[in-house]
Formats: sequence, C-alpha cells, structure tokens
Amino acid sequence: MESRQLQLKINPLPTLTWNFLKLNSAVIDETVTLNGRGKSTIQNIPRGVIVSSGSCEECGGCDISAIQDIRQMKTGLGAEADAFFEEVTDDMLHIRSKKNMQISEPLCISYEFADGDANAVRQEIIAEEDSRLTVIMDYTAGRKNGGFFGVQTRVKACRNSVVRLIKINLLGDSFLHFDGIAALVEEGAKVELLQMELGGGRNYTGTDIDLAGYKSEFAGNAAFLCLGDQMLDMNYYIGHRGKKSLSTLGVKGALRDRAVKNFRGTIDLKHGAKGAKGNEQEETLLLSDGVQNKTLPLILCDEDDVEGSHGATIGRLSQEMLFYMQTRGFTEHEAQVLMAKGQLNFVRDLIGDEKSVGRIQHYTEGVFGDDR
Amino acid sequence: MEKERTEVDDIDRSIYDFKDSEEGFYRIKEGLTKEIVEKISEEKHDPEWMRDFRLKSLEIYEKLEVPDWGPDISGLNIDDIVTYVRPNTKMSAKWEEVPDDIKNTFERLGIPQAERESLAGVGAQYDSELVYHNVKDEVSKTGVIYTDMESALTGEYEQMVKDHFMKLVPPTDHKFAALHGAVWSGGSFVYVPPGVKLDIPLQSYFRLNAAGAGQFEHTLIIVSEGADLHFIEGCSAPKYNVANLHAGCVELYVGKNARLRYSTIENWSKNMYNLNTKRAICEEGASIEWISGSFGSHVSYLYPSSILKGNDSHAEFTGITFAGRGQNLDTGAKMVHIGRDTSSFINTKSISKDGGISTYRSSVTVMPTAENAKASVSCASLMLDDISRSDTVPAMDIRTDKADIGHEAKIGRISDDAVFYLMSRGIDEEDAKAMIVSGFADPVSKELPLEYAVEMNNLIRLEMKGAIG
Amino acid sequence: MALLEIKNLCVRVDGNDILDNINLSIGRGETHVLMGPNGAGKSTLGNALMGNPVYDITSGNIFFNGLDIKEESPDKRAKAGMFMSFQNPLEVPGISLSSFIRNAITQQTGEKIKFSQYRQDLGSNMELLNFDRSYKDRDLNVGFSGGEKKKAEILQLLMLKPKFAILDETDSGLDVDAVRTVSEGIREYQKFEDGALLIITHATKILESLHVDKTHILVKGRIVESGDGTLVEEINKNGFEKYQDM
Repeated sequence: MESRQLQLKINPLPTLTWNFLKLNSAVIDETVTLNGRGKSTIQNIPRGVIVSSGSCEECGGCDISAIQDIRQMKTGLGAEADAFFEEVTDDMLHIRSKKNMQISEPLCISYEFADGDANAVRQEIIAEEDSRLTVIMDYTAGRKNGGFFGVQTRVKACRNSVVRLIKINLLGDSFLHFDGIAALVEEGAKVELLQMELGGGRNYTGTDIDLAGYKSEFAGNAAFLCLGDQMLDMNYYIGHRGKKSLSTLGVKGALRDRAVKNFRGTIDLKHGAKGAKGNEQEETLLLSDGVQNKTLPLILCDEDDVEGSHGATIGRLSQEMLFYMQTRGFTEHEAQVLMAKGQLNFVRDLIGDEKSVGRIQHYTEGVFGDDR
Repeated sequence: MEKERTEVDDIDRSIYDFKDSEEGFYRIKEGLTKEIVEKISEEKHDPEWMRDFRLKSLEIYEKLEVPDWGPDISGLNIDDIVTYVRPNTKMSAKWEEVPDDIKNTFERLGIPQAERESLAGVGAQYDSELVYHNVKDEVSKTGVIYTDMESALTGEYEQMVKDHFMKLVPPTDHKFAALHGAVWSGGSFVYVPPGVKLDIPLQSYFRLNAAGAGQFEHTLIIVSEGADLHFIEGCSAPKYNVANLHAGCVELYVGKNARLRYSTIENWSKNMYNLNTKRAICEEGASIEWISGSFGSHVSYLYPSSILKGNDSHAEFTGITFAGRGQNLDTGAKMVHIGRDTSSFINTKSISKDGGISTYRSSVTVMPTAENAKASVSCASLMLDDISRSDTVPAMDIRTDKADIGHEAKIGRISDDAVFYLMSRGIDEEDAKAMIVSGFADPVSKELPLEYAVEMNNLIRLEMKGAIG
Repeated sequence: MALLEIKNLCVRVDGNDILDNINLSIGRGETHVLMGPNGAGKSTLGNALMGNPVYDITSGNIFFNGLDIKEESPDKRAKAGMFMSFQNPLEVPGISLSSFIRNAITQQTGEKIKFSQYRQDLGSNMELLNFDRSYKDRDLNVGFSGGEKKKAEILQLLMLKPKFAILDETDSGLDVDAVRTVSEGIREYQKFEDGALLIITHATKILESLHVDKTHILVKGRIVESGDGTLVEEINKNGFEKYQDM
C-alpha cells in the first residue's frame, strides 16, 4: 500500500485551442493510496473465449505480434495517464476470441467496491480474425461510497472481427474514476462501444480509436447522467486512416444540480483515408441553474474525398415538449426525469443483456427515487 | 474571349501587387525597443498618458508568450519588422492633394470611385498614417465624427479616446494586443450621436506598401443610443519576400438599442502575418453584425468577438475564409453572453485549396446571468483537393440551464452529383465547380455591399480558375 | 352545470389579439365541433384551454368541473381530466409508446397499474386503431408517419380516458383510410360515459360517422354562429364565405 501524489494532464486534445476555455486537457492533482481492494467476478466464460490473467509471458497463448500492437496503443486519457497505469499495475486480464468464433453470449466482468477501495486494473482484448466478441464490464459501489478506480482497456479487432465493449459505471458518488480505452480496428472489423456513465464522483473517460483498416468501423454510444456534484470529463479521438472507414459517435445525457460535464470529441480524417465518413452527435439536457457544460467537437480534415459532420444540441427541455408532456399529466419535474431517462434508454436499449439492463434500471430508479 | 487556364495557379494579384517607392518616407529602424517606442511616441506628438500607455504595453509585451495554439508564426521576427513608416505627406481631405503615386494606388483599388458612388465618408491609410480623410457634408451635419485616430487623440475628443482606448481589448489580452498598444499608429475614430442613423456606409481602407513593415492601425467606434452605422474596412498590400505584420485593433462600443454592421474584406498579400484583434460590446437591445471575408495573408489569427452585456442584445457573425497555396488561415468568432434574452448566430464557410490550411475556431460562452440565451453555430468547410487541410475547432461553454444552444459542422468536398447535374445542363466542369463554390459562399456574399460582393465573387472565380487575366 | 364553461375569453399570442370574447359551454358527454377557415384562431382556443404558456389569456375565465382553471399548469388540467390531441405531436426520444402511456396513467391516477391488464388494454385499442403492434415498443412518435402520430394521439385518448378532450386538427394531413380509422377511435371514446369532445377541424370528412351535438363557427377570433350537427353539412356545402365579412 502506497500513497502517491497524482499529478497528471489527462484527456488532452490532439490540437490545442484557447487556454481560457480550459479544455486543452484536464489536470489531476491529488493523493491516491492504491490498496488493491475490490472484487472482480467473471460469471462464466462463453465457449470460444480465452481469459487469462498475469503477465503476458506466462500465458503464451497469443500471437506475439498482436500483443506488441496492443502494447503500443495509447488511450484517450493521454500519455501521462497511460504511464500511470503502466507503473501501478502489472496485473493484466487477457481476453481473446478464437478465430472464426461468433460468440453471441457476452463475457461479463463485474467489479465491486466498498467505501475506501482504491484499485487500478487493465485488460487486453483481442478478437481474432472473423470472430465476434462481447465484453461487458460494470463497476459498482454503494451510492455514497468513495474511492478510486482506474481501468484501462485496450482492444485489437483483427480482420473482419466484431468487438462489442460495454462499460457501465455505477460507482459511488465520491469515487475518482479513470476509464482509458484504446482500440485498433483492422480491415473490415468493427468496434462497438457502449458506455453508461451514471455513477462516480469525478469521472475521466478517454477513448482513442484507430481506424487503421479498409472499411474499418467504429460505433460509439455513450449516455450520461450527472446529478449533485458529479463531474464527467470525456475525451474521444477517432482517427480515420483506412479508406472507407466509418465512425459514428452519439453522446446523450442530462445534467442537474451542480453537475459539470466536459465533452471533447475529435474526428481526424487523415490524408489517404479516401471515402471515410465520420459523424458525431451530442445532446445534453440541462435541468438546473447550477450546471456547467462544455462541448468541443473537433473535425480535423486532411483529405478531400471524405465527409465529416458534427451536431450538438444543448439546453433545457423545449417549451413545446414540456407543454406536450404536461398535457399528458406530467409535472415539469416528472417530464424532466422522463426525458433524462429517455436519454439513457437510448444507449441502455443497445446493450442487449438483461442482467446489465436490470442493474442500470435499479441504479436509475434509486437516484430518481430520491427526488420524490 | 481569352481562354482561362486550367491548371491551378496562384491568384492574379496584379491589381493589388503594385509597389511604390518609399523615397522621402520616414522609416523607423527595425525591431522593438523602448527607444523605438519612445521615438514613435515623439514623432506622433502623443499626449503624455499615451506615451506611458505605450511603454506599459511594451512591458506587458515582453512578459507575454506567443500563443501555444494556432498556426506557426516562427517565421515572424519582430526584430526584422519596421513598426513605423510615415509617408512624406500630410493627411488631406482632397484627393488632388495626395501625392500622385499614393493617389494612383488608391485609384487602382477603386477607393475614390467608391467614395463618389456609395460612401458617406472615407479614410485611407498608407503604411502607418492616414493620407486621406473626408466625410460628406450632410453626414458631418448630423454630428457624426469620423476622423483619424491621431486627430481625435490630440483634439477635442481626447477624453473620449482616453475613456475607450484599449479598454475593451486591454494590452494584457494577448501578446499582439500588447504589441499594438506599444506601437499603434493610424486608424479611425467614429462617433455616432444618439438616434442618428446613417443609411450609407463609412469606409476605411488600409494599404501597407513598405516591405518588412508592420501596420498597427486602431479603429475605435462608438455608436450611441438608438444610432445606426455600417462601417466597411478593406485591406491589401503588395507581396514581398520578407514578412510583413498586421496587428490592428478594432474596438466597437454599441450603445443601447443601437446597431452596428462591420464589414471587412481582407486581402493582404501572402507574406503577411495578420494577427488582428476585433471586439464589440453591446448594451441593452443593441446589435452587432460582423461580415468578414478573409482571402489574403500568409498566416491569420482572426476571431472578432462580441460581448453581449446588455439584456436583449444580439450578435451575428457571417464569415468566409479562402485558404490557398502557402496560406494558414485560422479564423472564427467568439461570443460571450452575459445579459438576459441575448442571442448570437455564427455562420461560416471555409474553403481550402492548393495546399492551403483553413481552421475554423470559435467559442460560445453563456454566463450564469444569461437567462434565455440562444446561440447557434453553423460552420461548413469545403475541401477542393487532397493536398489541403481544413480543421474545425468550435467550443461551447454553457453555465445556465436556461439556454438553447445548437451547433452543426460539416466538412466535405464538392459533390460529384451536383457537378454532374450542372454538366448535364451543358455547363463545363470548371464553370460548374466555380458555380458550386460561389453558391457555397453565397450566404456571405449576399451580406456584403454590392461592389464588395462582386469583388469577392471575382476573387473566388479567380481562385477557382487560376486565370492569368 | 356544464363540464366546461368558457366565459368572455380573450387570448393574445406574441402581442397579437387572436381570440375575442369567446363564450362556450360544453356538457358532460357532449360532442362539439369547432370549425372555421385557416387562421381563425381555432388551435389558439385549444391551446389556451389546455394552458399552453405561449398563449396569453388577457381576460375571461375557463371553468372545468366548476373550478376556474385559468391559472393552473397544463399538467394540473390533465390530471383534472382534460386532454388535447396535438396537431403536430412531439417526438419523445428514448421513451417507448407503451412506457410513455403507462407512465402518464400512473402520473394521473397516482397508482401503478397492473401490467397484464395494461398490456391487454393497449393491445385491443391498438387493434381498434389498426395500429401495428410493433409500434408499442418504438420511441413515441419518433420516425412515425403523420398518420401514425395521429393514431398514437387517439390511442392516448383511449388509454387515458379523460373527461374532456380537445382534438386539434386530428384529421389534417391524413388519407381517407386513416381518417376513417381515427374516426373509429373517436367513436370508441364517445362510448365512454361522460366523455366530452371539442373537435377542431376545417374539414368535415372526419365528422361523417360521428354524432355531433353542437357546431360552432369561428371566424377572425369570434364565434359567429352556433348550431346543431346540421350546421356541419351546411358548411360542407357552402364553406365559410358567408361569414367572412361579418
């Protein structure tokens, strides 16, 4: 057990803008005492999935070049946070789907924490050629609990594979949480990312997607709910290298009370990525006076035969919508709760795993139940 | 008809690229030192407070860093820049009294003609000083003041200048604002009294002729309660092989229920570093409309900002940026909502071609006090080939729930379908493309005064065709 | 006492006076039709009755069930038993049609309803409206056609069972078959004991198979004539021309 002073620049932008916006990166400066506590459970391992832990050399089951690729990958949290993970934990969970295996049943990893637990974990996910793999991770703690949970997930989607990565954050309101994600997507492969950012006190999620292959694809959907003093800082970087690569990113959610949310989303259409298309859409519902929302959607474009687009809608419930809901008997508050749930449902309904949906349901009923 | 060349070439700039000799001009030595600033102040007969202001600004300049974001400006060395060049003439209100070569320059740029036809008043700056200034009699009679900054500073408007000068853009704002504070020269002072509505525009034209020089004009406009003004600014320079610098400053005070439209067509030569700062503040019910066309310069940093301080105030920014070979144009707008029921609207178009880089950069800030703020941002970028670059960096910082903010951005190229459609109607490919680009720019050009819209469309056409004339 | 009593109602929108001194009384179980040319202020009346904040009541009163509801918020009016079918129903992303209606019923009655009973009711009403069952799991109105949106409004009418419903141009933009189906749904509502209706329309097709107690003609913000159901036929034949210059 060791106390360490965390001084990091986290979630950096790929290109800088005005410093007064305070969006070029976020700064972490605090003491974290990692105690390794917390419990992770894997219910069952679907056929065709290989799971092992420990250092890589012990396993030896993988193609070494794939491992080398994966070790090079940077997460969206940035180099300083990646180095932190490197430093504090050797522990690595390897998850691999075998070639040609279409695995519909998800691999579910649950991390459970009690108050004061502080831990950092890493996973490497490799979907071999023509395989399909779903990994669901949920992080749970008591609503009022505090602690630290850092997670770093690197994904390599080999040719024509499909990886569905689902992350459900149900941590306690005083947790500091880092979630770094990196993915390398080869020719014809697809990475689907679903994130439910509901819990945690101060959450930093950084996602870096490398669409390296021809017709590689990324579909990201994130839903967030920030109430009370919750803070969510998001950084997405989607690099299009492959010709005809495709990306979509949808981020929806609601802010209430004194919640703070920062969203950075970059679509980088690199030179040579002919025929690439990238689209991001953000929708943020503002439900109280004291909230703060920052949005910075970047499109970097170094190629002409491409399409990049972005849209954002930020604001309160429209007057027309409120009136419509009221004519059906909903009060303003109830209408807001219903619309906030709607924002979440949009991602929840894509998960396709009953147990996970149940957990999310339980969590949201809990937080909204407190309102009554 | 002369056949237009099909290969893409640099734009024909012959109408801008003529140079005149500087014989007999006063030229301060290169670089930036306390002595140089003191010398400029002395040459300009500054009041003491202005001399102190310049020296204070210089101190700030020395402390501030160049921006760590945005285009590279390492090619700009202030030690090589001549900050003050005075033509050997006094300012005149008659073109006949302006020395022939300078007058010819403005004739070729069409300024006297435009004045006769469609302007209420004109100021023409050549290098560091104004050489011509005139306001139509009927305009003077309304109490409108339109003069050069030096006359305002040393004349009866000194106090008004002192109260407003670099209050909106303080020298601490950024390094080049501080530079401006230290070495500013020339520019226009406009005061529109309460309730006066000018229905024809005033125009200032800035011409930088001297090689290796900087132009640091200051524009200060005060539009009083219920008044209405359209101000046009044009700029150009011949091309040299050494860097020229433009670090102007525009401060616009828009009073209660007043309206100001500020139009700019910037066509600096492609050796120019254009590090310009423009800012407007709106009182209750006021509105500011920016129309901005950026075609020239080697590097530009340009983000006119609007501070919506008063309730019910309104800002609009309509801009187009065309980045061609050797250009890195970083342009956009800033909006700050402070008052209640404020609204802002940004609509920009960027075009990149021949290896040009254009960046759209903006920020929309909605403060907690800005209840019922509405803001909308729409930016579109067109890539004309695969060696150019176009980035979009729009930020929004929203601190109240009682706001409605919308944003949309698009990047792409000319659609093959659209070209095919036009070609199927018998239009050749180049014309088809030029038509599509003009159409893309149309929301901006239709906001410009007619002769500027024509100029802009010509610029686009020339850029598209790479014609030799 | 009438269920809905409108007294000397004047309404303003965006600074323009739209309705001028409207008086109207609708009894329990009665069906009233409000007709008039475009721009007469028909929808304004519906919105003002329902409490849309954009519509400013400058004078007059609205009594529902004997209580002055002029100051009540729209949700209070809904809970008191009022309903309005929107001319342009809003899209509610993330909330399915089924869950929206169930939530609304819970809001209005204050108690949870049995899921099995609810599902059965919803199913039979959807069938009545010739509404594809799969729509119950789709986000309310999101990606629905014009006709489907109107069906979803009538479905809510049948599920929420209000005492009084305003149908604002429910027939506009619908094809003949859809009008017939919607009309079927309205007839079903009329079967409810005490279910009162104010049907706002500028066409008469939707009224063909409905029983109408009273018809009112609204022109330039004023009710220029009231009569029984036969007035509908007269309008059908002669239009509003004779009222235009009044």
